[in-house]
Amino acid sequence: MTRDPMLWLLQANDSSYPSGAYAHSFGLEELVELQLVRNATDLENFLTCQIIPALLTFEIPHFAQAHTAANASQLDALLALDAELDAWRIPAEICDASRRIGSQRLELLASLAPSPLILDLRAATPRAHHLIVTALELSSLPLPRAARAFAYQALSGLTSSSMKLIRIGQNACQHILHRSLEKIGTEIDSAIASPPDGWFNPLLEIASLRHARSNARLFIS
Amino acid sequence: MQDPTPDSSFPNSIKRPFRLGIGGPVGSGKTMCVLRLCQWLKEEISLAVITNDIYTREDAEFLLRANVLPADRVRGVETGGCPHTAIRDDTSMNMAAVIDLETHYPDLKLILIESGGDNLSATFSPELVDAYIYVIDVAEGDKIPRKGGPAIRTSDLLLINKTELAPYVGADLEVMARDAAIQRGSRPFLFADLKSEKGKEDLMHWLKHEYLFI
Repeated sequence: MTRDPMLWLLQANDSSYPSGAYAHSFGLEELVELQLVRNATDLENFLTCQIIPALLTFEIPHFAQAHTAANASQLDALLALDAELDAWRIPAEICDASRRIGSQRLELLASLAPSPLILDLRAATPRAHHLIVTALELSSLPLPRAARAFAYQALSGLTSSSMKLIRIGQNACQHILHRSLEKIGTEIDSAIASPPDGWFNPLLEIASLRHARSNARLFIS
Repeated sequence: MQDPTPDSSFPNSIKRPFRLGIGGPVGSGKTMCVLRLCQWLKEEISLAVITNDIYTREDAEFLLRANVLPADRVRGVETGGCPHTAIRDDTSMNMAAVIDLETHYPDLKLILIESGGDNLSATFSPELVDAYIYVIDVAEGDKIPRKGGPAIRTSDLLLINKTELAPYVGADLEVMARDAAIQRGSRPFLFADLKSEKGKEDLMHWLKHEYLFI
């Protein structure tokens, strides 16, 4: 990482950073196939009702724990969180997507800015979950900013995927992303301070399970 | 002086010309499709063309050599390495060309926007075009419709070109029709051989009946 955390954030969160995330829709493709997401309104509802609650009650609280562990150089805590995430991500596709992106990010992080903790994590679990690696990656940033970057990654990844899946324009996507960020922005600080809740989303999980068996698909997940 | 801000009202607003995208793999006949549409329509309506080439202005220059429209009505956009981006993710270069054409030709009724040759996942932004044709050809193999993808499945018209070559490349048009129908459901597809102008009536009927209303 660069010595300036903000510049590092810009690099690591840029769409040109090769994390492989562009190849995943995290179940959205199957929801489109099932005609549950057909247009801009559906997409915004999906983000509001499915993704933002998952971020606030599950992902960001776990991210906060991982970020704290990374700053304390607690490898065991990171590994325990990684194992817990594995248990929560029931559909194999979602779990594998998270690990693929995590491993890409971890490999690049180890190359760009090796540290004992990064190298130890890679040695212990080279296919660490995306959330764990991103928390480690952004550990030089204050937690509230790092959590916002993580939330942005999740939401912008889905809006970008949507342009390939439904008839939606690039400006419409930016409006939806902007409104979604406005919705989540005011909630992130309280999510950071909250203990992680479980998050059960059968709609998305069933979609992911179906996607794994689809005949033709644009995205890996 | 026309307002340079594009009017995005749809469909076929009297305030701006209808914008029709033409996409498809390299060599499938996109430029020929543009050429034929220009030849068939230029006496009836005012139209212009924007071509997207990855590295060159080859397609624009082909149309200029064919003398199908006055040179100033054919604009070439060089997209750099990613033709997807110029028609879907960041259409600003194409929109600039659209605005320029609309400014210079207030009577325009139709702008054809030809994408760079691309793969089966290329689609147009609905903010750039009102509808789009996806052109494939029989020489790519009769399995192409079966492969699906957003353009095969959801384009406003799937045009299966170069049917005259089918016997020579072993392409089974019945298989292509069956698979296209499965992939597209109620969305239309047509067979054509644009070079020999076969399929003209079907293509013109679709365009005039669905969008141009002439």
